[in-house]
Amino acid sequence: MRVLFVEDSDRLRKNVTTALKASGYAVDATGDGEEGLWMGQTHDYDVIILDIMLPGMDGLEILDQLRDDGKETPVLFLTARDTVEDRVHGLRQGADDYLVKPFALEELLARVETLCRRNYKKTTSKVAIADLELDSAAKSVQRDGKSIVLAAREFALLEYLMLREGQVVSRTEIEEHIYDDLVSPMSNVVDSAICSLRKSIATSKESVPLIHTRRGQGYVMEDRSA
Amino acid sequence: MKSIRHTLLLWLLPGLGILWGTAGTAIYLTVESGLQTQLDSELSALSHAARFTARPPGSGPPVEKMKDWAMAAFNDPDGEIYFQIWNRDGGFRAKSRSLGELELKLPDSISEHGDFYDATLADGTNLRLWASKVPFSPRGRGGRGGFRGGPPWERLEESSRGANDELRGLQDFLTGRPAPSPDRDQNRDGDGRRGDRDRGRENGPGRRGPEIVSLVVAKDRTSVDRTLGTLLGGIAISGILAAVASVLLVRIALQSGLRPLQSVGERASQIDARNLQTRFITDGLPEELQPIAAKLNDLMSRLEAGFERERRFSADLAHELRTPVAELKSMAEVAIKWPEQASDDNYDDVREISDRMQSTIENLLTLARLEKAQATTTKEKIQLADLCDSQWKPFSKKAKDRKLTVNFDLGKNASIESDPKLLGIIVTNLLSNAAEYAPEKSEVTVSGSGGTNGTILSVRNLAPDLGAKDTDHLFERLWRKDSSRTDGSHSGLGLALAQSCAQVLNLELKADLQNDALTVRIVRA
Repeated sequence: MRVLFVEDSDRLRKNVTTALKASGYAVDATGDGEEGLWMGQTHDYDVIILDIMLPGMDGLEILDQLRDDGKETPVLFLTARDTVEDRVHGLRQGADDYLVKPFALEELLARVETLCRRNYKKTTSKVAIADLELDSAAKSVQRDGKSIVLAAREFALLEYLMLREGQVVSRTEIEEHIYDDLVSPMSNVVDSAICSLRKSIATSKESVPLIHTRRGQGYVMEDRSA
Repeated sequence: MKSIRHTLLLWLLPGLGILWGTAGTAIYLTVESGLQTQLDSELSALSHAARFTARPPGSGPPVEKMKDWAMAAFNDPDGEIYFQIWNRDGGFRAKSRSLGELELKLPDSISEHGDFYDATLADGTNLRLWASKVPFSPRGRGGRGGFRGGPPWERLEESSRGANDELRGLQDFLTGRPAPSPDRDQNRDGDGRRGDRDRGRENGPGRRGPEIVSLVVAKDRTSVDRTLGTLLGGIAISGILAAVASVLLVRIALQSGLRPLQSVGERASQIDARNLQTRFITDGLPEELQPIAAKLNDLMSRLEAGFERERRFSADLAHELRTPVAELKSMAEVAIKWPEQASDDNYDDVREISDRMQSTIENLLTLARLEKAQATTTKEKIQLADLCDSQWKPFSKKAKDRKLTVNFDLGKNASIESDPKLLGIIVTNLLSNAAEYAPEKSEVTVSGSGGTNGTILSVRNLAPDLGAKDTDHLFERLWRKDSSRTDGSHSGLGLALAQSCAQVLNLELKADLQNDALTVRIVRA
């Protein structure tokens, strides 16, 4: 999942970015409002975290502009403005969530996770395809009752593919949602990651392949054994 | 709840009721008095008519006419005027035929000029009566005795031929003959006339001296009472109609007159902290309410500005305090959950954040103490040059780095009697702002007294980012040109603190922006 974090406090931006990355998110962060708007307009983020008081352009203006551009990306306001009027104003402006500083990192991560899930029309933290189960809240994966340990990025990749079950996911989409930095077009980092993930979730010889390749298009995750 | 409308109604309606009642009573009493006077005049005229009956014909038409009319009415059994005569002893002597079997009431005493009074006959007829003492000098038939002009019976007989016995008794009495009695009636002939013997015996003049008799003349006052009753009814009905009309008119007048006040009240009741932008509409308001509405609008403007200032202060304070706390908390949580992500730089961050929060809190506490006038001050002579020199030192390195040119034009002997600590805070903040915000390679000028309007010290530097309206906010707590408050090295409390210090010292800070150059002056308040 890819998250945009716009916050003008360097220290806070650094800490939250660290926490998000450690939780498996790909994070883009900036301290400038105008730059944040540009990033939100040009990239397809799963969640955008916005401060309200920002240099250049405040968070409310950024949200307005994004909605005007037809961007439906879930937005969470992370701000020091704590009055009821501020919260109501922010939510009515089109924000999906509102969190007041200072906050607990766990709460922020939970809210971001919920917004990501909502973005893929899922109501619970558990996703299952065939005998493969993923719990995004517990950060756990099981297949046929056996626990599978995945690295953060592998977990994010599996979660992304499972959330888009039955859909063709292009390499570019995977790069955008899973990787922080730009991936070279000639790089096979996505293919390598998919290959590694296939091995990780094949817990036995009887395990049915769930990740399928569509040549020239990308990957589809679905149960074709039925 | 007390209401202007109810208060006015409470005063106006009873007031109008009293006015209407008084007017009706006055009209009634005036008419009654007029009718009574008229009635009394008629009675008086009747009395005079009786007394002047014997006057020679042609001595005055009114009396003659009155006399004729009176005699006719006295003799009319259905007439409405009456008389009755009593002798000195109160013995009945005569009465008019109109009385029939009834009798008038003789008052216990009669004054010299006569008395008017009311009485009721036995048949229930209400009368107005006039009683008087009438002097009588009985004389002979051809004389001019009796009631002044002489005995009236001849004329009575002429004017009322066929008068009853009582009238004849009056004639007898007035001529000095004894009152009729049963034994004397024996001397009467068949038609009731007295015998010639009696007449001849009592006709002699001078047989008696002048005698005072009681004469009561009365008139039926039924028509007067009816007129007064009709008048009273008319006044009562008019009063009721006037009262109803008054209530309606007063209500309509109050409703119409108080409508603008009501609209002002309704508008005022809609005002709360969420709609302080509300203003009272002065167009069309009565001139009495215009100054009130204007004052309220002025008050609302100031209230709105005050609320906006407080709201901004709260938001700025929240940012100033919440953001560093959020930084500390997130840093700690990351270090706890992902220890491999923590580094030694975190300790420096913690110290810097703590210093910044400490500075903000101390400034706020100082401001609070100054605003509550809790600060104690001392006075001593301060050399401005020395003060500026010492306060500039902390910023000289920054000024050098930013290639600022600083000019001190204070004069060696420029001094002021003031509190060195508070004045130091003021000067420090002015110099700090100049060093921080003046554009690189620009000039900062610090001048002493000798300027305009009692200036003690002024600091001038270029401030191209400031707008004309920004000078109104420069001394507000936590105000910063950068509304995002990204730069954590300043909180925006410096100039507010300086202004509070100045107020404690009876000084004032004034800011002017001209040609992108900001001049902040310390002047005497």
